[in-house]
Amino acid sequence: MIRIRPQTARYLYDRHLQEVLRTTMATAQQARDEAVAEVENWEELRNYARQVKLHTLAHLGDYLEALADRISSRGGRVFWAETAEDACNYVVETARRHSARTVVKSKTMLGEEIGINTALQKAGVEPVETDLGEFIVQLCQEPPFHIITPAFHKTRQDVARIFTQHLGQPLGEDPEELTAAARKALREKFLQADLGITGVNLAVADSGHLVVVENEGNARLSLSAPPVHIALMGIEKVIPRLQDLPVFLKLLTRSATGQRITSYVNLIGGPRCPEEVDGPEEFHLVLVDNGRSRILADERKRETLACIRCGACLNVCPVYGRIGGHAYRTVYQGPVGAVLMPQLLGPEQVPEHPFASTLCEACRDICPVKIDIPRLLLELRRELPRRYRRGDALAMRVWAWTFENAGRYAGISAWGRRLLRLFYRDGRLALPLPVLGRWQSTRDLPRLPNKTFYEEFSNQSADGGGNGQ
Amino acid sequence: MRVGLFVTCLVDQLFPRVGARTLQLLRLVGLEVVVDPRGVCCGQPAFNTGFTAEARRVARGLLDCWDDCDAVVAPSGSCVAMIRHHLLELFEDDPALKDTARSLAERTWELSDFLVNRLGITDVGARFSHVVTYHDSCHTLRELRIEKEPRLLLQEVRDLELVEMNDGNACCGFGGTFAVKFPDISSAIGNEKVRSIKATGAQFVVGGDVSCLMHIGGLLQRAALPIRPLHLAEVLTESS
Amino acid sequence: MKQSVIPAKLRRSAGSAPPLPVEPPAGPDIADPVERFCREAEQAQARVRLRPDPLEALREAAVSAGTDTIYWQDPAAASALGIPLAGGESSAEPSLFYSAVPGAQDSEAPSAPLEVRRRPYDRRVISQVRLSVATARAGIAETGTVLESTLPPGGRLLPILAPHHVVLLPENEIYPTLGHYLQAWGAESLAPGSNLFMTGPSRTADIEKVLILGVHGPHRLWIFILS
Repeated sequence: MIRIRPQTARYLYDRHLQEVLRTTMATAQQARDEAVAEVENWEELRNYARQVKLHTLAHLGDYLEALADRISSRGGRVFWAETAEDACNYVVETARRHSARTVVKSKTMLGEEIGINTALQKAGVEPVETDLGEFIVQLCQEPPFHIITPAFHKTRQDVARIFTQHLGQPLGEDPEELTAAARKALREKFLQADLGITGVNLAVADSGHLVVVENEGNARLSLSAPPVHIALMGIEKVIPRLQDLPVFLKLLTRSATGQRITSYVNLIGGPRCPEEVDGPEEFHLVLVDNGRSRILADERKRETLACIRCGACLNVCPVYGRIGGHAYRTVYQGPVGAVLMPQLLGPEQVPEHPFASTLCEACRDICPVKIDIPRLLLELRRELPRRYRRGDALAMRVWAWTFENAGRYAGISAWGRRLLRLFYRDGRLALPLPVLGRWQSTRDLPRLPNKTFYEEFSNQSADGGGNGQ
Repeated sequence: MRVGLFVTCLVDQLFPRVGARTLQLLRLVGLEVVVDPRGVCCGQPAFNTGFTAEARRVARGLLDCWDDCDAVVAPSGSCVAMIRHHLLELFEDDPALKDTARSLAERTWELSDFLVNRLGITDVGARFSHVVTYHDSCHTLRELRIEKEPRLLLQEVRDLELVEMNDGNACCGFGGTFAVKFPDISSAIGNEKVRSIKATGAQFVVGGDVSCLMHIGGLLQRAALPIRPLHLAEVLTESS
Repeated sequence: MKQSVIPAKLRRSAGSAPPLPVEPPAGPDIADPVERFCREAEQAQARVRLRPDPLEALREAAVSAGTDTIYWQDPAAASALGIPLAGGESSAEPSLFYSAVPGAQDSEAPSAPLEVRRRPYDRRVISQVRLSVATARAGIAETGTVLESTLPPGGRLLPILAPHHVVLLPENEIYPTLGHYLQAWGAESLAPGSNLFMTGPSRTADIEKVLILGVHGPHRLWIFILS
């Protein structure tokens, strides 16, 4: 079972982290807002994309098969992985068949989800993260802190230290110098790697294209230089037509990084053509289910699969904005993580995830495909079996019993307040009561008025008689 | 026009003055106001925590109230959002209560929305010679889409200076049971809001939801800051 | 290929769903695509030269790259600019094509003609190249993006490994938006793998949000819009 609450203090009271979170989230939001403001028909794009996604999900089997057929007709191999283990086994098998020793990887959250790096390492294969942020957290032996910008919590001093240690040369703090060092170190890896693994941002069914967006060029190199390329793709990533692509690209890049478009957009769909002078001879598309088909079967929560992994909801979430990604202790974090993880792992594995939210709804407003995350959170809260929240369940039953009957409510309120007043002094509770104690740890309690409103005013006649204020 | 006043359970228990001022305000604009103590709670605390059965039990009480009123007004955006958007959901399988729930949902208004959009009033003759800032509660902002109404009302308050805070749309961190499930995070979010409030130089932070104001007020007090939270109804009934 | 159970499992979940919308929403109205392209590309840190003297512009790029050798994705582009492929240099083998920079002095053979020579394809050679030149299939004005094909004789590695990259963009192949390009050319024009939409140089902001150009891809991107 994964809990969030035990480690929040560690992140909340890290002054440097809080400063970085504050400025990074503010910058990300501003960039996104500016980029979106340029698009006059942003709402229209959102509605279009949502409709496309919901339609596609209802016909997912057909679209995926169309995609697979196209890839196969070009000589690519398609593997349908039901579980994370199946996907990892296939990749490891392929690596073994080619006696691969080094694998270059570009950023893929799905790769994190299925644990591909661990699987490769166990098989004696070295997976090298080539996205600069992922490279940094890999060297630090940490998981990503954010699904789009994995290392934003690291200072240049942190990076200088870790690079000096691992790249074997003393390096200063200048980001230019550090980036140049990473470029040099990774270039060798690209040119020598036996296998390249990338993710897939979007897949187009009718034309058979897989789309990989990036800024650094590492995905381009990962899918061009090694002799074998494996693309890992969640089954929900397919869109029906090439004509839909410009809309999704626009929504994705502006929401994720506030860019009109990323430096590189790769369209791939098979191994190299016979006439090409370079490119991978072997291409594999691994379609990963890993619980998505189960989410699909639940019509009320199916829209979770519309997510295009832009990360905007993380940037706007007041909870993520205070605790950061590691506090969730799961691959997917923030609002999308809160609704996806219980559905992928089972609600009892991550019982706190749906509750780590104030239901402020900022995520729903910002989601480019209009996923109603707050509604999904409420559904998940409802579905958590009571045995995982016995205390809450009992408290709620008592509360309902008290509040459902106006007379009972008035009576218990009167006696309860008399009792409470004995321990209550000007905003402080002398008695450490469980719920109120939690409130009081960081805030003052409100004063307890002498009378409730109804005690004062329940004799109001309609024409305005009765007690004054 | 006859309106029912749904003060909400939090106002009843902890901020009865807000209820009193709302009552005063509605009378001031010439309405007959019905106060019905059977209107205890909309059930939101249970609903938002995933306990729909308990929410239904409690919300049931509202269905007995105000059936002879043209409208029901509440000084709370989150409770009104609950009634408007979720009450029917709770009773849609109950043929006897479904229509009452729908009727109530259609007649219930948040205070500022009611004054400005239903009655067409922005000037209630108030005077409040202080600098204030305004906090929009998330449900009011994002569920009810009410943002300009409180400001139109405050603009007409004589001698009042309204200073908007940076990141005004940010959540205060209360979040219902979130406040006691994740108190550290709740307060950390709230302290960001307190910083924004402080930076405006305002003497008062005004809002439309006592839940937010209670949380912000608790943080202001803990930080020993002299800024006081006030509900919109309290400002609109000031005349000194 | 073993038949998978997944598609059938997915089909069982097919439910009610909205129909697929027919037309995507309209893109912005761009009155002057060339002007917009130049503006967007420069905002993305590309260096744009509108209708330049190509050889002058190549010289400028080469000076900036600190090199006197240009590698060409396609010798036909060089020929079109008046730099012919040296006699007997065509080959069916995977090749790299290079020439001196126009106007640069070849100190070893000062009277040698400016022409494109061929050498066998070798990724080690590519990784030492300082300046590469390719022709774009199209430009997208809305974002200042160029579409490069890496079908033969060029390959995938040359445009991405060289730290300085020049793109020759025919002016009449600039489309207002990606949607316009797709409508004009369709899927068949995008042979998978050998297509790259490129906007500005390679970049990152992963270290303290400081923008750094030239991470794994080119550090400097030149776009010559040729009439």
